[in-house]
Amino acid sequence: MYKYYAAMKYEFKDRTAYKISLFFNAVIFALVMYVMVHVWGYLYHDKDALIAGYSYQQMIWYVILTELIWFSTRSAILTHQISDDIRTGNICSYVNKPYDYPGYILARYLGEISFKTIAFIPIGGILGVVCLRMFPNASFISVASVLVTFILSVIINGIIRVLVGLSSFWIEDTKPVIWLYEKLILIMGTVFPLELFSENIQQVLKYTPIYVISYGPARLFVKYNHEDFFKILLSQIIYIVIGYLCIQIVYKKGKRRLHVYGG
Amino acid sequence: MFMAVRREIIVAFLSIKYNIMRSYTEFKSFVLSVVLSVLNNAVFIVQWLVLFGIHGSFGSYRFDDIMFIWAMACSTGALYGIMFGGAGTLSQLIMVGKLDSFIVQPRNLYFNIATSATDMSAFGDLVYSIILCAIFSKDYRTVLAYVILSLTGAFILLAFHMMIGSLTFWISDGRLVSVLLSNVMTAVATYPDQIFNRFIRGLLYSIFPVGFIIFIPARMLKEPDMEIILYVMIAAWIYFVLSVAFFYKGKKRYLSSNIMSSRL
Repeated sequence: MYKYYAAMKYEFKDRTAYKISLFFNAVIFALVMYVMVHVWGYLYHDKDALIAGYSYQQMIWYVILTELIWFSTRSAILTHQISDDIRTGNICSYVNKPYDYPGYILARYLGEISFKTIAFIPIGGILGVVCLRMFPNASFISVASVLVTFILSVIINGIIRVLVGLSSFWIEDTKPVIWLYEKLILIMGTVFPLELFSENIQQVLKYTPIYVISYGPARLFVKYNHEDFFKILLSQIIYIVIGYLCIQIVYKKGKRRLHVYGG
Repeated sequence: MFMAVRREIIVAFLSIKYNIMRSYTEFKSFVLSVVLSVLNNAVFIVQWLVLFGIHGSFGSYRFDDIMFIWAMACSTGALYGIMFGGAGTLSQLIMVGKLDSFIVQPRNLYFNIATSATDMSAFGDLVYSIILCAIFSKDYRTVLAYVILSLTGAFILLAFHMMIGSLTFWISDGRLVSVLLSNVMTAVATYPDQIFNRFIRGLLYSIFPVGFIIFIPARMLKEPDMEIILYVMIAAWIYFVLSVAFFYKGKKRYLSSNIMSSRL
């Protein structure tokens, strides 16, 4: 495990060199949040009203947390690197190394997004407090459970993106698939909670990655209960186990399609 | 003078044509990119159906108005991406000193850079916007307004991207500022302007020309008014002239990095 930890650590250190880039990303995050606060401010013209069981404050904190997950898990490594490595043949220089290539990429992804997440959490918190002029109504248990589910959601997101990246063994360009995946997560679970969909659609969405990546952790933050926490945690663990097995199978099959011409 | 302009337009069209042909070379990838790009945009319909389910309208905006906003956002973005996709690379070209290979060519520098690349995903946006226009347009006047305003919007986007790209002539890490300003446009472009306060709306009709690219054109698709369309065309011309002036003023500050590169 040490080699993966080292890959993660060096990626983290590498990211600290791009502070200005992070600053601009933070401004974009703040701007998107500003637009979302205006949209929800318009929809909650009566600030005491409830929409789908959420108060205005709960909705804003929900959106801040889901946007935080969405922004901090957007990874250049997972969007470009696997696909580029396979297309250019660069992957040959990784397959003969004493580590598992998908594991190595996942470790680098965690290093990349850890730095972003550490920077974005206080920004999200400050934005929420400034917009609502109040602190979130969260207990220690809810914050701790959100932290656990947040970390697992980041890992699941990474696993799914690695799977999409590995599909480059079969399809030329995986970027459109990544866009579609990002948009589904954004629209179905980030901009508003699942409760705004009809009952039937909610039941379907609860089996999708949207439930474990964005909706689950954010809902725990605004409406914590033990039962939901264990349900989300179990779903996340199942996703991670099945996802990682799928990666191994796809990678093994993909490697067989690899043709090396030397050079 | 007239012949020189004519020649420049012909070369620009040829450049765009070859960029498009290059996109076709990997046909399967091209088709997949178009289909997924259409789906990518269509997902947002879900968002608006849900939001309109909560509140019947956003100010004076109804569901079809939002679809017109999307039609304009996609068509202008697509035409810009197809015809002037190179404008988005300007700050990078300046930063790494690759402008030399454009400068030495016997072409108008501004259009040479702008028409040097095509964004493949833009074709999907164009298809999506045509579908929306076909569904929601009422008569030929809407279609005519859609075509004219998509072109003016593409030119305003070109002017905007050339201006923010030119900032790199003055700011050392202007690429990040350019990305930031471009993201500001994208973040607000598909939401009704009425949800913002007066100050923000003022910015959207001046520094960030979203008003002239999307909001006014979207209203025109619903009720075409030739006089207002003419004003939008004048605004496009002003933005274009400003961007040309800004670009050539900045170019005087450009220092070559002596990178050996060629463009064929």
